[in-house]
Amino acid sequence: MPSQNRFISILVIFIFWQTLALLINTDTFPSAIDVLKSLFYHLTQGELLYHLGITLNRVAITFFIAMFIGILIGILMGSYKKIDNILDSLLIIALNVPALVTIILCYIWFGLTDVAALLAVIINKVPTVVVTVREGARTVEQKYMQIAQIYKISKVDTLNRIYLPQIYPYIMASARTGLSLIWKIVLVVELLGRSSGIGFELSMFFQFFDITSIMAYSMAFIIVILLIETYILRPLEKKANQWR
Amino acid sequence: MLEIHINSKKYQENRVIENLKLEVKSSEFISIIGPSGCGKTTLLNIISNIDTEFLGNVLFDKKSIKDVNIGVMFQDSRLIPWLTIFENIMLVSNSKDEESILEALIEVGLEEYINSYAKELSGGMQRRAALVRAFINKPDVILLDEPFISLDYPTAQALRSDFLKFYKKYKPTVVFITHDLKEAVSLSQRIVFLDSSPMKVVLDYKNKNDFSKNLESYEIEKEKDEILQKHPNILSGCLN
Repeated sequence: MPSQNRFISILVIFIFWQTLALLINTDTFPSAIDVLKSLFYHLTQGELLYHLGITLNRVAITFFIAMFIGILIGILMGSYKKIDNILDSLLIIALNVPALVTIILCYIWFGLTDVAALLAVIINKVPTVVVTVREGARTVEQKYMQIAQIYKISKVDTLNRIYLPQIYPYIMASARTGLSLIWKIVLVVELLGRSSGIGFELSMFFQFFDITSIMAYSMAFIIVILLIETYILRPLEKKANQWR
Repeated sequence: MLEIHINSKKYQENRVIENLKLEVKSSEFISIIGPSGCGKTTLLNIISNIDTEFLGNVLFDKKSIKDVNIGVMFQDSRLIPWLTIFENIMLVSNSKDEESILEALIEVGLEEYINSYAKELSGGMQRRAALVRAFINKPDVILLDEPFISLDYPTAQALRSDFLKFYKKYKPTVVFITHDLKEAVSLSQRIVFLDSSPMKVVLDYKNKNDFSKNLESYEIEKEKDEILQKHPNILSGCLN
């Protein structure tokens, strides 16, 4: 049972963490149980849920916009050599600009606003989606596209039933890596220039040297991402690969 | 009538087809035999309107071929692997009539595989599904690119007879590419022999036999030998 294995591995990490903390016995490395207690406190007494909601909202917005733009450009670049040639150098530049630079520039150019924050995240994410989806578009089988042509299948059906299913595995791969990349960048964006969200809270705890709360907040967020991964992305991927 | 007039088809600098004129009567079943690489598949791509980069035109009953219902069968079934057998046929069906799709699938003995994916079917069954797909829109033209090869003998035979059953029912014009002269003699009414670079017709032969003759029958064997004896020189290049 995979879910059982997963539970055991998490348990082992917990026990290892707890023992290590007890052995080291310092304020800067809280034990697993202390962190869980702190998590419970922030959930019931603190503002964890409020900030979690705000951050998740930012993650969701940037995720969908970045995926949409990335898939579109990726398909165009993978299908048309000319577009690929024109955009390829731009793509390499975009892939190699450090996330931090984009974030700072966006804040300077557009002010310390939500729009600037979201824009910075999207700019960081789009290139990686493009690279993966472009690879998918390049592997599209011409023989199935010809079937669509010969039988005069409508453009909509050709796209939905023949073209996109061939790219789904690539879209799913970029969605999964995308989610983990995006939430990390969202936290940095919040830390640098927002007054709400998990990233902002982390910067506050950092100033007070509240390591236990930092870890509790991180844990809350990791749990949410794990749940999204397990109950949304994985089943979607499984469904897309049913026929294999 | 299917009229194929190709003035020029180049592949890079290679002249694949030049001044080819081929006419096929409505409901006629013709075979095309030619050496490997003489451009048979290119010809089929042109007729099926996949390849439009050539000089000339292809008409059926004076209509441009792009407005004509076409069915195809290839060496592989080319069923879409992520759609079920039923969805594969539904996707190409013009009428979207579930009843007639089910009927056709039952006719070729695939009723138990309606909701299966292609990979769950044997090679022969996959091609029977492709056969149903080819005929589902009652097409004017059917193009066959060696659909009976790499199957064991009884499976290929069963597929041939299924094909003839559908052919007699819907009477499309059939262009059949094959390497097997006996198959051509037994199935079709006319055989066009081609030679390469550029493609040209070396012999246009009208079959004596009706297409309903058994592949292994004496008459077929005899007619095949007659063709080979009468035209030893022109045919040496075609049959390999």
